[in-house]
Parts: sequence; C-alpha cells; structure tokens
Amino acid sequence: MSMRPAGSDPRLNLSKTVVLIVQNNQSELDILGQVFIGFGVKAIRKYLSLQDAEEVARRVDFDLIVVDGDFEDGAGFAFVERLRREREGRNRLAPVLLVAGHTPQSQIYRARDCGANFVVAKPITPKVLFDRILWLVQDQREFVESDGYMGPDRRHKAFGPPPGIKGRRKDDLSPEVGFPAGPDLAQSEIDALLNPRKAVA
Amino acid sequence: MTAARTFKYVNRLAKALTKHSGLTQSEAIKAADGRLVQLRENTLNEIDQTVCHILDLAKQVTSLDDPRVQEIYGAANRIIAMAGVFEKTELGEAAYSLCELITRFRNHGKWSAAMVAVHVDALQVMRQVQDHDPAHCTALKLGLRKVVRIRRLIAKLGGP
Repeated sequence: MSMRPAGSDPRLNLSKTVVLIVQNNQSELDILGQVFIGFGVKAIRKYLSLQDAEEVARRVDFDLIVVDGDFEDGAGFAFVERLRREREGRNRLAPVLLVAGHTPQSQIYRARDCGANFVVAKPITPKVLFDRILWLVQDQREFVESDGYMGPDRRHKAFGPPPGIKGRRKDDLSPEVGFPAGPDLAQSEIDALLNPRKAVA
Repeated sequence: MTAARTFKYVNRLAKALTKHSGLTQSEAIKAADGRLVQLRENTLNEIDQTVCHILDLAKQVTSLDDPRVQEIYGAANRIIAMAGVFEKTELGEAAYSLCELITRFRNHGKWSAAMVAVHVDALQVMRQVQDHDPAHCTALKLGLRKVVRIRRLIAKLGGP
C-alpha cells in the first residue's frame, strides 16, 4: 500500500501531538518513548497497565494511541475494542496503532477486528514507526459502527465484494469499466497530458 | 441485529502533515536513532539475560502443560520486539521461530525438548552474531525453519 504523496518528501510536525503508549514491559515502553521524543513529540503518556491507560483515556484527548497486542489473553485487543465502543468516549475515533510480536493464528482475526487503524509487526524501528504514522496521517477511511465491529473501515479500497455477494454496500465502486462519456482524446492531447510543456510566445 | 452505519470523521493526526515545519523521514529517523543510543547497552544486556532465562526454563520443561512454556513464549516475544531495533535482526528471527514452534506444539498437543533446544542454541549463537559469517547465520536461520516445518509435517502424518 502506498499512501505517500507522489514526488514529495513529506514532513511531519508532531510537536503538538499528544501520544498515549501502552506496552506490556518497561524496555519496549522506553524504546517507543525515545523514538517518539526523537520525532519531536513533547506530550507522551506511557503506561504498563491497561487499566491506568484506560483511566487516562477517559480524561485526555489523544492524537495517537499505540497499544501492545502482546498482553496476555488478548487484553490489548480488548482495550481497543472498549475504546471504540465507548459512545461518549473522548478517544473513540482516535488513531490507534496496534503493535504485535508473534501472534498465534487464533488471535490474528481478533487483532484485525478489534478496531485499530493499523496492526504493525514488531520490531518497531524508527523507520517502521515513521512510515506507519504517515499512513495514519493520510488515513481517510470512514468509521464503521455495527454489532460485530467498530472502527475504521477495514477495506482500503471501496470496491467491496462482487455484485450480488453479501456484504456489498450501495456506495461501493463498480468493478466494471463503463462506456466512454465523451469523444476520445486526440493523440496530441494525450501527449500534452503525459509531457506538458510551457507555451512559448 | 442492527444494520452497519458508516460515517466520516476528523482524523486528529492529519494536521501533523506539513510542508515546511517538522521533520522529514530521514531527519526523524536520525533523531530517533540518536535517542535510542542511550538505551542500547541496557537493552542488549536485557536480551542476554532473556536468552539465559529461556535456556534455564527450557531445560526444566518436559511437557506442554507446564506453565513455564508460556514464560518461554513471552520471553521470546520480548526478544522479537527488542532485538530488531538494535540491528540484531537474526536474533529476532530466531526468537520468532521459537514462538512459532511453541504455537505449533500447542496446536498439536505435543512438546519436543530437542526442537526447543535447537532454537535455544541458535539464540545463543545469534546473540554473538558479529563473530559469525553471514552465510553461517543464514544457514542457521534456514535450519530453524526446517525444524518448525518438520514439526508441522510430523503433526500432519499423525506422529508423536
């Protein structure tokens, strides 16, 4: 997936970003904290306890939440699920990155369906984290609310399943290519589109 | 059951994307790497201790229902998270392979001390990876993959 604007070197100004990090051990918490400081983040709240993190998430608006998926019994996934389901919650719509090490097959669907914007595999190096933040910054997916799922649309393309298949939405794009709406372009017009040149007086 | 509802919402992070202020990717990575230097020694020591801990635990485990199996899995998972950040990629991969092996043991209800021992030995070798030839490391990684694959094959054939 490429979400980077073409032909530019994007810059991120995270100096006013408020970040919540929840990890299940001190070393990983320290590593992520230092990486965010390097990225210019000044307001970082770090927690080893999901309960403490949940408590602060009720009081503070976060611009980014990073949650460890390696808490025992999928507690990290449950944390994100609760965050998304809290109707009046301050951080219900906040961008969430779920970071996970080895995830047993039995937990993979749960990781996908807990409502995080992205699931990122450890190790979280500075490069990986910067790239994923860039993805998050440009994430324009809609929020989905249903009995079984709450979170950003899990589809990254709006084509949906084929027509006639359950799960298709009325605003999904058609996979069919339609008939032309106007006359074909002349070759010179196509050339001009591909290789535009300044007009010479 | 109610119908699904979708709606647009404001992405709080979108304002962080700027044209002139802030950091480019290379600037941000350089700054973050600079911050990580101070954690490097302690983290590498912790990785060493974790490898030793796995070694001790693995010697004592004889069956899958031993609670220490989860402790080994958790310790290996911590190595995955830490090693790759400090250029110990091979060590992280060996730890990942150990986690995968334990997951397969759980799926099939069997424990193999010998297969775990191979992984623990590999973790010890990978920790000192700078002393080894890259080809040696690659061979070791391929060997671990084979061990995990063999576990799957044995399970498929209904073996012990």
